[in-house]
Amino acid sequence: MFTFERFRSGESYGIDCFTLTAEAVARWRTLFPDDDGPLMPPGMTAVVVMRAYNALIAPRPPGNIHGAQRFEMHALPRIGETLSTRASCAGKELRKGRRWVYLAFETRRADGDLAFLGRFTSLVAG
Amino acid sequence: MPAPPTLAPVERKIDFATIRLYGEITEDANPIHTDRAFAAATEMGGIIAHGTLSLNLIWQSIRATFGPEAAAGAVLDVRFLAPVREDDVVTAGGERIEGGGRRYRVWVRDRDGREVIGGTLALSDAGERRIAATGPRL
Repeated sequence: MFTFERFRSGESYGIDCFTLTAEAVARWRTLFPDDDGPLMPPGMTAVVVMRAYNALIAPRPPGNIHGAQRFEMHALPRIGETLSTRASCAGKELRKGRRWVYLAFETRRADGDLAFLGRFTSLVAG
Repeated sequence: MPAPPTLAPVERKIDFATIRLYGEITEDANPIHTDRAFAAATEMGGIIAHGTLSLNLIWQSIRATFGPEAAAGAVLDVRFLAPVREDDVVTAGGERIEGGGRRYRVWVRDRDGREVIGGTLALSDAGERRIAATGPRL
């Protein structure tokens, strides 16, 4: 269980692969029809990161809250590309009785080029 | 393209169906987004939308202002300041930071004008070049 105590700064949790299929993008566009075109809608960075979070940093106590997010876009992948996302812990702190965990996500394209970086700040429930 | 002083606003009602479908797409099973009894017992006091759902409105505002390639090379850094609850209507937008080139103060606000997401956006002039470089991957 990934409680606050379990996280260690600098620890890596492995790599998750996700293929940006036309079906996945079509599902996204049922919610956001304006996000059209041959490139991944930038909002789908959240899909890629959340899938890696769920695959690599689980189980977690229910009720975590997303406190902050940073995305650094290096390239928008094209539909059909397979992306690999490495997750690691960038730190944690106890502040005013609240448990904050900082997670780093690095997503690369099949040829190893950087697609985007994510930094995810989570207020953990347990 | 010269940096306009404001980003085009994008508005959306965040209803429960939207929250549920967003959770399915992102595979986010956190019950604070879908389980009324669980959410009511938390500090949030009820169901809240995923922060990144509302964050997508900022990406859409960037696209509406600059076109679909503008996100390449962008750095978006935000804090989730207040929960978005079901049936809230929120609007995303931003203003250019004076003297900041292609940097913007970005936000998502609720119907009362309260900021629920706030942060900064830095756009790269290299965005379109990055997209051009990805062409052969098709």
